Amino acid sequence: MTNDTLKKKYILKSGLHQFAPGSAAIHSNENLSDEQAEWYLQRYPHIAALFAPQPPEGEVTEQANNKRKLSEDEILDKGGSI
Amino acid sequence: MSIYNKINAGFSLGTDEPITSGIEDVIYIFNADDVVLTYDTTNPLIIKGLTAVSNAKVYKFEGTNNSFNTTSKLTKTQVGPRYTEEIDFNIAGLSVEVKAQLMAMGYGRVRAITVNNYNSSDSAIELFGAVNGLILTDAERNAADESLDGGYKLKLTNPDKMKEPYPPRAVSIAPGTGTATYASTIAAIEALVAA
Repeated sequence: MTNDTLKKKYILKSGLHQFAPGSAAIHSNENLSDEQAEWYLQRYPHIAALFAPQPPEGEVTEQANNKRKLSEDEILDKGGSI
Repeated sequence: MSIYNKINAGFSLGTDEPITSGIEDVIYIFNADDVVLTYDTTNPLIIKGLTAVSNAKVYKFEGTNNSFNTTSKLTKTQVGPRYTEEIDFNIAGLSVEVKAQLMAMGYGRVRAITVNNYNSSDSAIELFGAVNGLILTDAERNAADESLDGGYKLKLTNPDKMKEPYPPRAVSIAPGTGTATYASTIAAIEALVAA
């Protein structure tokens, strides 16, 4: 039922959480899928604080120089010299 | 859950951290439906998080001279042990604002956090009414009473026919990173207190 932890977008902080005051504390990261998390977040916005911080949407760490370095063989193949 | 019917540890009397009586003269009270609780995954006696609903606040009631007290008492029932809880405190004031708060506590359910004078354990800070809440059952003001000088003598207890299934829960809230301490727990509670 739950998504693969590595692929999950919504990660609950450790512990057993109540989502609604007075409910049983049954919600944990192990039993909450992303779909369920979105459903609950829509209806109980205060539970946003119970989730681990997420990186901003679309932010992916990139290497400063993302051009692939040519290997020595590739340089020689192109007629260059080392 | 064998944890509840098999003991698995004893107790050694030591002199490092002798227990002391009493609670600090401060009680944090919040409406029962204003805060959601996060429990420790393996131990339901530990509350490791308090999250306010819709910017709700916790209200701090201060007293003096060791005049606040808590009592938790096991009651045997046909379905196992239950616990009755009582918090005795007072308000050294008289105003319509105070009266309004007392009326509200008589109608609605609240939860309360107290701080033990004995703060060398993981139960230094305790939450009462975790499951069923508390209501104000005594609010007495005797204008001529010299011991309270006309202040309000108050008692929070479990609602009628309701007892708590657990002893008072220990509140133990960790900072952003690291393990929970007395200081980090107080800081987390104070962060929710109304200005």
